[in-house]
Amino acid sequence: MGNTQKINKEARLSMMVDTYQNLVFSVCYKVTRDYFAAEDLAQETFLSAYKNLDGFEGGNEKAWLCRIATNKSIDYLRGAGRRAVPTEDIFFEQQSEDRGTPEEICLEKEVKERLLFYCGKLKPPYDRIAKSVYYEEKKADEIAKERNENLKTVQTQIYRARDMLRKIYGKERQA
Amino acid sequence: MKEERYKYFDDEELEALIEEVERSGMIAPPVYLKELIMEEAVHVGDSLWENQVESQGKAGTGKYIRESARRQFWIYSFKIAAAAAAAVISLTVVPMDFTGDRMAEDNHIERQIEKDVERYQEAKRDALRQEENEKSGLGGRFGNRIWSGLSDWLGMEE
Repeated sequence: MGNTQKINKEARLSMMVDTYQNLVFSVCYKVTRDYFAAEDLAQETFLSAYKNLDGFEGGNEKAWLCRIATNKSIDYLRGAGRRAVPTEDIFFEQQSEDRGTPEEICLEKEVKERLLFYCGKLKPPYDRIAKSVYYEEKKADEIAKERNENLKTVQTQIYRARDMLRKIYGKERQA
Repeated sequence: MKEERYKYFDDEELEALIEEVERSGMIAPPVYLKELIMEEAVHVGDSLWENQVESQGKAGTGKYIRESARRQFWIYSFKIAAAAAAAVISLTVVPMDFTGDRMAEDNHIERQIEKDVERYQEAKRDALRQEENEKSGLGGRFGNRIWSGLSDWLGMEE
């Protein structure tokens, strides 16, 4: 793999992430019903695609990525200690039952509301940082500019807030 | 048993899932997701690149070793063949005398030379003796006798 080829691959990955990150993340979330697991699985999906780009013979990129995402999500569910989630068949049954309900239509809103609820459980300044990132969808540099703080400091706070949220989220799911 | 619950999706189920997700509204991932992916991809790309270079290097070294061994084998074979050819030529082409006639011939020449040298020295001595006789005459002979008698008396050697 030459340097140019590496750069080309990174550019292609960047384009794939821009185009499909919402879909891949949503697919992972749909299967796992875990926001932070979906985050990790989406990341793994794109990295796996990046590693195997040379072997991908073109064709349906979307289906290829979603295949990786679902397989990884199933592997995650199969992992030890995972909380029982709907089986594939039950999942689809549930989907058809829920189809058209306000809850399903406003899935993103529901997820965001839940995240906001968890953000409120964090201690300052992580509650505000988490709210800005997960609810208001602000990037680290935007938050740093708004608060007139160092970018590195904000990035560290985001990292810590994410860890705290994961712990709270995990506990709530296990309860 | 547990794995049976979570079967992988077949193509139709996957298509249905994608359709479902797209229709029901997608969830935006965290804003930093792309940044995380790209950072990790750089590390992954570097390690892939290093692995590839390493494996190419190993393959190259192996190839070099194989070629070097082959070359050394041919050089060694050539040396052995040349030595064998030289041995065969020396045995068949170069005349050799295993009977000892040559040695006898050499001895004969040496004896001849020794005889010639002896003959020469003899002739020289005769010539000198003759010359001395001619020079000394009767007085000389008398003087010589006195000198030799004196030398014997004193215990001197000539």
